[in-house]
Amino acid sequence: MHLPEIDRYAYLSSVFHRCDPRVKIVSIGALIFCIALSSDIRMVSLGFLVASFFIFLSRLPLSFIFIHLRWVLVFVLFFFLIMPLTHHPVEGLKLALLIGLRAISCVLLIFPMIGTDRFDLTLKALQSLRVPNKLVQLFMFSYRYIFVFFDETRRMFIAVRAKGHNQRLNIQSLRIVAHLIGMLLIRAYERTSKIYYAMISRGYTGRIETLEEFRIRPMDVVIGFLIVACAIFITIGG
Amino acid sequence: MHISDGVLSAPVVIGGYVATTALAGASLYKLKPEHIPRVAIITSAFFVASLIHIPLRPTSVHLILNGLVGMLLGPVAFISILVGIIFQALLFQHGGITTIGTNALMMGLPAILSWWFFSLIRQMNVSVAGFVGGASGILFGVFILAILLVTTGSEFIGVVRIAILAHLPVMVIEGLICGSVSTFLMKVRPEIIGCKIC
Repeated sequence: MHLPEIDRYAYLSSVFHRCDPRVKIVSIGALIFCIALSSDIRMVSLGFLVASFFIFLSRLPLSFIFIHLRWVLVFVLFFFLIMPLTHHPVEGLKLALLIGLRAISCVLLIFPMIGTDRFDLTLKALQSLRVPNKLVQLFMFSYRYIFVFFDETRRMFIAVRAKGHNQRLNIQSLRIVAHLIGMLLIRAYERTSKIYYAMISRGYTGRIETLEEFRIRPMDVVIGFLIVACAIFITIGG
Repeated sequence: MHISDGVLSAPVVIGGYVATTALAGASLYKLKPEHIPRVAIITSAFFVASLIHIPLRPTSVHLILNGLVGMLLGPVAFISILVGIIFQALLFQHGGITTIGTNALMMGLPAILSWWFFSLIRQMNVSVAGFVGGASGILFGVFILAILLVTTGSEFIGVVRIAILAHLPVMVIEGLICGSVSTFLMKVRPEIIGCKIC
């Protein structure tokens, strides 16, 4: 298990770090959709190059990116193994290549999109993009408590391991894991009953308020325009 | 069980988003403001629980627990699963931005079915109800995955077969875990399982 720290390098400085989060979410989001739905291999390759260039511009450490690419690489490898065997060999490889390039480009683009801002600012940007307030609140609370439960789960596992538990695939071991999950849920449930009223009594209204106000500068407009132009080119170029 | 970006065709992606928006909109509308922290915190508990890996030679599988979310939250489970799917796409790059809609349908609809099965059988035997609820969460998830892939193109039939085979042991493990969790919760805190949250 490792912690989901997408915003670990939000303090760096780059073109994307300085850009307004709303501009990034809308423009890069559009680009992701255009690459994922394009069926022309040349345009998808172009998308992959653009995504790699954005990673370079965002100055995020490559080791950080590679750790997060694990899942998608396993997924792409699976397609490379299965498609040529079950479908036509050459056509299968071509299709796997197309799917692989699309999947990796889309994942790479997530980093300049939200990896260059603190996560609370991303949520605030979603709020000002008119995402339903209840959904934003759900994101906010869940995100905060993921870290709490992460520590709690780790402590519980250390405790059972200290008592001699060894994770295997048998009924006994599964039952122990099930009881740990049950305990985690009970603790979660007990926390919830008071949080809302505690928040209300501190003046919580459900809106995210931060000291930083968003401001779209002329440079942001240019960046957003370039990214959207790229997305349009990928869609109609193929 | 997630579909990454770049596999599904445009109609499937758009259809997934439309259906998910409708379902999520309905559950959000029904969700009372004072229940938001409860749903959110149970979501994060499940998010963390789904990071637990069970060794299954030669590799290991991680728990999905969508059936259990359904059993705990009832129909509101859909919104909880949607939040989980979005976090997995954004924080772990597991899944994808364009497939948020389809992935939420794939995990969320079975969760509602699990809740329904569980509340139907729980009077007879809680462990069995938990097993059925947990296993049906995966079973229907794979079923929806198969429909989505085959709708995108017939060339994915081989992939679908392998996905179904790979999920059979996961289904059994998940059923056993959920059966055991529901027996445990029934003994310790019976009021939190199988009731509609709002």
